[in-house]
Order: sequence, then C-alpha cells, then structure tokens
Amino acid sequence: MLSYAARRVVLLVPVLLGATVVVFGLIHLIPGDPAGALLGPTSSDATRAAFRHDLGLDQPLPIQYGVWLWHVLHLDLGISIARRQPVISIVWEAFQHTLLLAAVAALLANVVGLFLGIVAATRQFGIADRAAMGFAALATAIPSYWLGLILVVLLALKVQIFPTGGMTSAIDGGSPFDIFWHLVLPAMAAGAAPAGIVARTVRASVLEVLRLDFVQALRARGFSESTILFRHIVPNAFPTILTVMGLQAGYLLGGVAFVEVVFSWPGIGNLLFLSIGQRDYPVILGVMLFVSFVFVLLNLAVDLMHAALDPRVRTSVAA
Amino acid sequence: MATDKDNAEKAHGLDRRQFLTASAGLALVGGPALSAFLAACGGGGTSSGRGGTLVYAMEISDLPSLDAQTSLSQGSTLAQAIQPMFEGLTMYDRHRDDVVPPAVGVLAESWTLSDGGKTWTWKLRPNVTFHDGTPWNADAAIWNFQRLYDPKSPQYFLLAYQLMSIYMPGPITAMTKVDDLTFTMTTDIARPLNEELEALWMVSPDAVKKLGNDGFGLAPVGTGGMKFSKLVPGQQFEMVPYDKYWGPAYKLDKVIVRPIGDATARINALVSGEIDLAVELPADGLAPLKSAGKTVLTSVRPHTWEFIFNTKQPPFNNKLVRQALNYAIDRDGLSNNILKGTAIPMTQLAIPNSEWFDDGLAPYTYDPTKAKKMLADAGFPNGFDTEWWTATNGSGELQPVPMAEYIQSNLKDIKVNVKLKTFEWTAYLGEFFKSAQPGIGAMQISYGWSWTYWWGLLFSTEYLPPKGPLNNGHYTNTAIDPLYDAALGESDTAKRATLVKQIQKIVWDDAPYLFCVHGLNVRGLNPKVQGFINAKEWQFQFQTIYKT
Repeated sequence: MLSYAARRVVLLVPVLLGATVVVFGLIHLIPGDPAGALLGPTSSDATRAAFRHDLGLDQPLPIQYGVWLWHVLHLDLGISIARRQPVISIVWEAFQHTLLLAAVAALLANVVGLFLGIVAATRQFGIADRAAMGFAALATAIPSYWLGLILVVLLALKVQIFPTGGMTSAIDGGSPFDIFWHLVLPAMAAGAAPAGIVARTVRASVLEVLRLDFVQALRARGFSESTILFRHIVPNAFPTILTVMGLQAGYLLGGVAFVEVVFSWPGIGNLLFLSIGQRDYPVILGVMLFVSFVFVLLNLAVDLMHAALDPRVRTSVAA
Repeated sequence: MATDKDNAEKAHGLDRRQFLTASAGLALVGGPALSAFLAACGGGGTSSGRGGTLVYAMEISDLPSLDAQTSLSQGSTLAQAIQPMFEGLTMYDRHRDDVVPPAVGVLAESWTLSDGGKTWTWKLRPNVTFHDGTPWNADAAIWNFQRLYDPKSPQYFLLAYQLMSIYMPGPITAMTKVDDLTFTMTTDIARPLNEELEALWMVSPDAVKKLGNDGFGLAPVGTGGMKFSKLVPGQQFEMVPYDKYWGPAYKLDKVIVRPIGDATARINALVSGEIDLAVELPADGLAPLKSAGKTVLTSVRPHTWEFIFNTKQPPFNNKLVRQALNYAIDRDGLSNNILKGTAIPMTQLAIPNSEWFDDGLAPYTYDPTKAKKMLADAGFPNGFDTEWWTATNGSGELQPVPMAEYIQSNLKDIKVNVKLKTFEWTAYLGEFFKSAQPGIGAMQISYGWSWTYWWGLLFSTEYLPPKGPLNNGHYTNTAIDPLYDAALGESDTAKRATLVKQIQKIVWDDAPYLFCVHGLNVRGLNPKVQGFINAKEWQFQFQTIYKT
C-alpha cells in the first residue's frame, strides 16, 4: 500500500508540470492585454507600453514562463495586476469560500444521489425507479447557472425565503447561521448535477452487484433484504461509487464557477471570471494552478481510498 | 423618464424650486459658492431627516484597492463608491441636478491664474484634517501631486500615474509652496486645471508613508465626510461619518459598499431589499424593479455611443456617405425599443443641459429617402458592403450587439450591407488601440465626456494615431486645431464653451462618427432612501442621503 502511494505521488510531478504549461499557454492565447484592460480605452500607447514593461509582459513567452515557474516553486504566485495584493492570499481567501460551497454542495449531492440510486436499484423498473432516474436525468442536464437563476426567482424573489446572493448579509452579517442561509440556494444549484450523476452510478453499481450469484446465495440462506443490501451489496458497490463521488467533488471545485457568478459568491470561480476580464495573468494562473493542484490531489486521495477499500486495485498496480 | 424622476422627487420630498434657488449662481464661480450652497441646503426644511445604514452595490465583482489615486482603473465605479472618503482641489458639484454639474472648489477655496494661464495659485481650505488627524495644507497637496507626477520623489507611484494619466494629460512642470495654505502649480501650456483635476482626490501622506501603497489600499485615509471603518476582503467595505469634517455632516450613520458585478444580481438584490441603491441597471431589469415598488431614476450624463468611421478608406473618406448614413438610422427606435428608454437619441455630441449644448445645431433626423439620395449623389446608388467591428460588452457599452444589429437593419434599408464582427471587451480594446485598419469600415466605442481637452484628444490633428488612440478613424480637419488650442487656454468658462461649440459644429457637419445615442444614468433606489440628488453626471454624492 505504501509503495503504491509513493508511486502515485511521484507521478504527480509530471502531471502538475504539464498543467502549468497548458495553463500558461492557454492564458496567453486569449487576445487582449492587461494594460488595455486596466488602463482603459483612453490610455496612450506609451503608457500601456510602460505598464507592460513594468510587469515583464514584453518578454518572450518562454522566459515569462520560466520566471513564473521559478517563483511558483518558491511558493510565490506573484502580485495581482489589478489589486496589487499577493496572488496567494487572494486565491487562498477565495478558495476557502469555494471550498465551503463545494463541500456543502458535494454533501448534498452525495446524500441525495446515494438515496435516489439505492431506491432506484432496489425497485428496478418500478415507479420509484423511473421517478428517481427522471429526476437524475433532469438534474444532470440542467445548466447550473440556469437552475441558480430559477431558484433565485422562486425562493428569493417570489417567496422571499433566501437571499439572492452574496455570502453574508451586508448589515450584521457573518454569523454561521447567516452564512448557512446564504449557502442554501447556491449549494442546491451547484449540487444538482453531481447528485444526478451519483444517483445513476449508485443505481448501476448496486444493480451490477445485485445480479451476482452470492446475492442469490444470501437470499437462499434467508437473510433479510435490508441486511443483504446494506451489509453486502452497498459495500461491494462502494469503490466505484467512491471514485465517481471523488471526481464529482473535483469537478465541483472548478464547476461552481457559474454558480458563484450568479450568486455573487466570493469564491475562485468569481475571481477567475473577473480576472480573465481584466487579463490579470498572475491571478488567472494562480487560480488555475490551485484548482488543478486540488483536483489532482483529490483524485489521488480517492485512488488511495479506493485501494484501501479494494485490495485488487493495489495488487494489480504493484504487480 | 420624466415621470419617474418627478415621482421620485415627490416621494422624497425634494422641493425642486427651493433647491434651484439655493444653487443659483453656482455655475459662475468656484469655491465660495459651494459652501454657501451647502449652508443653504443644510437649513432647508426637507433635509432635516438623517440616519440609517445604506447598502450600496458597485457594478464590479470584486473589491480592488481603495486608494483614490488608483481607483479609476474601474472607470468611475470604484471612485463613486469611495467618494464619501475623498476630496479633490475641485470636484463636480453633484448637489445639483438642474444642469450638468460644474467643477467647484472643495479642498481649494479659490484660485488665481497668472503667466497666461500656465501658473495656478491655489488657496487651500483652512481647518481641514485627514481622518488620521494630520492637517490638509500646501505640503500635503504638493506631496500628493508629486506622488502622481514626480518620478524623482520617494512617494512616486507609477501605477497611479498610469491609471490617472488620462485625467491629467499635461505634465506639471513646477510646484511651489507659498505659505501653509497656498501653493502654485505650473503646466507646460495653459489648461483648465479646475475641471481637469476634479477626479484627482487627495490621500493622507502620513497614512501612505505608514502603510505603503498596497496597505493604504486596504485602509484608505482621505479628508471626506465619511471615514473608512471596515473591510471584509472580496465582500464589502464600510464607512462611517467623520466627526471632524469641515463641511456639512453626512446624514447616514453608515454606508456599506458591496461588489455585485452581475447586473441581474444587482436587480434581484434590490428587489429583495438586500441592498438600497444600485446604478448601471440594464433596460430589461426596470420592469421588475418598478413592480416591486422600487424607485427608478434616470438622468443624462456626458456619454456618447457611436461607430467611428474609418475616414482614411473609401467609402467613408467621403463626407457625403458619412452624412447619408447618419440620416439612415432610427435613433428613437434604438433608444426606446432596444434600450427601453435608458438612452436618448444623440442630437449633438454635447448632452442637453450642458454648457456645450448648442441650441442652434440641427440634429440628424431619421430620413432614409434623403439618405438614399445622398448616397446616390456620392456615387453609391446601389449601396455597398462594409465590415464593422464592435465589442459584446464593456464599460459604458450598453447593449452593443442588439444595438449594432438594429443599426445594421436600418442601413440595409438604404442598401448598405454591414457585416458585424464582435469581440469580448478586452480583446476588442486590443483591436481598437491599433486604430481602424484597412478593411474595417467603422469601429464602435462609447466615451464619457467631461473635459475640454477631450475635444482635442478626439478631433485635433495633434492626437492622430498612433499618438492618440481615441481618434480611431483618423479623422482630420485642421480648422479644429486653432479652436482647440484657444479653448484649452481660455480661463473663462463661457468663452471656452463658445469655442467648444464651434469645434462641435465642424465635427457634427463632417460626421466622422455614426452618431447614435447618449446612455442615461439608471439608478435604482429602495423607497426608504431619501435626499438622493439625481445628478446629471456619472457619479452622485452621498452627503444629503439618509434613510427613513
């Protein structure tokens, strides 16, 4: 198990390095320059040139990349062009807010997905199955930003139960309850699609296990359906489910971006959206790097848990 | 539009006549008039209310540095929000809504000009302190201008200079302290500094020295009637009244500013009551606001939205063609159908009620028959094909794509087939800066007009590309140059306006632009917000506002 973990960690290095190249290259493919974005349509050519020179943006791209990577290796993500604050603190601040939203959305998605999936699998082709899978298909297909807008219209404007956006109330906000109250709608909007995907995966893997001979054998020995389901079927189906849950959590971290913009949630998605508009390269790079890093780490964690739960995984890789 | 405004005025009890009387004569002189006016206002019966916490939404998605001298990186959005904390030597008098506000003395009490208008002697307002208790005086003033202008001073802040350079185009060649409350400023050529310096707000030298430029952006210190009290990074900042303020006290107990970049989100937050005041609201959001009982105010501001013709290339090197197209578009339709009353047709470059508005100038009417005939006279009886570029979004851009498509359909009626090419804002700016290239018929842009030198940047041959990026279409008419130079050096406001009107007359006839609309301020208010003055300018002031 330890050698498996070590091997996976070593493999992270080229993956992350590759991510930095892709991220850096992609950003500089977007037309437009930060000097123009920040100094506006009325700035002079000379002012913009001086601004670019100041930030080293007049250097060739490979050199810019090298300088940037060198700083990144020293945990220095640079200074935001627009905000003049260290990127690391801006990204970290925003990341915590995203993590909170993604975690609540993931929790919601997994609980709802597990429940629906198990209900559907155990009542295959019944009304409950069709209802659950219909819901899952809808939830997966609806774009999160559209769902967010609909939730706002229904539950914040028509019936004014929840706030329309933000993370806290402007006046005397910030208590745990206040934050939770602001979390409900964005978490629902962000969690819907993963809930649908988890539900379908759970249903499929539970059904797969249900068809195995040992389930028949258990039934023949007179075990109750609930014992068979929760002591034997679900644990056997769980490694697959876990992988999907982990992937969904990873996608959520990057994918709540749209929801964040709709709900003015001060997370990395919102930050990324804004920074792309301003061509604030250090912040865009910082966010992308952070997200890919977290995504890769999350995958690693899921794989390691998978290996811990299912001995076949670690032996097959070690062999 | 008028109805909304009138209703709103009735609703918050602002007596317009009383207001106008109080502010009469203000346009003529600078400093002393402001305090007289403010005193008159403070004694008025309707303005006795006070108190309340106002939540204001900015139209950006983030809280950038709150340093007044870098704030214009966000257009006037951030400047508007931090305005209660800061003041300049002069500022627009946003206490009045009858005309486009003139620049009046604020931290300067008065000024005199010498040396043919090149040397300005500023007499500073006495007994003014920054929020950290340090005094406002000639040393502080010179320190501030050195921060922006003098690369040799230790406090020189290049980024601030870069961001503000458009607001202070001429170099300051010398500054001298005369006494504690007097200093002189010399420029290379005579220019109307009282209007050009209105957006340069003064920061506490002591606070910048203590906190550094980056730290100052997180805890700003100015001389305004409200002082900074709290920052929640990325989410909001708060201001409370400054008890040693030299001027009339702010009426609110607190102002909370939140960044809500998405226009729909601003409308929603206003409808649900989470915020009290928001600006830059899109046309489609006005109906829900009104049906939720919110107040919607519109007012003109110095803004123009146009396509700039590439006058270097055929067919737009032909004045007749440019004029013909100006007769072919339905500006009323554009304002009322596409923008639902959040814009007004452009009848000249200057907006109504501004000092530059020329009653004698005839607008381009909507007359496709005339346009067709003019095109035929110009040698294009069967029209022509052309490619026009526009952004899809951006500062002051209203709804560029639907607007451009509407114009496209208008022009199709006179057989001018426009192929539209669209870009995201920042990418578009990159293209715009290159100025109109061969093959591009026209490029769309919107401008805010507040200063005399704007007329030079846009139309004087001195600022042709590549020197000036604003004259995107390479428009050249040397008759404008002497008029512009004379206007810039003219210290008398009325005489200066006369010269500007002459420039405008030439430009209007030459039609280097497809003149389209003036976008309006669209401001949404919680009805509990009282004392709001709907200034005909990009920004409004917070001093008279309170909540019931």
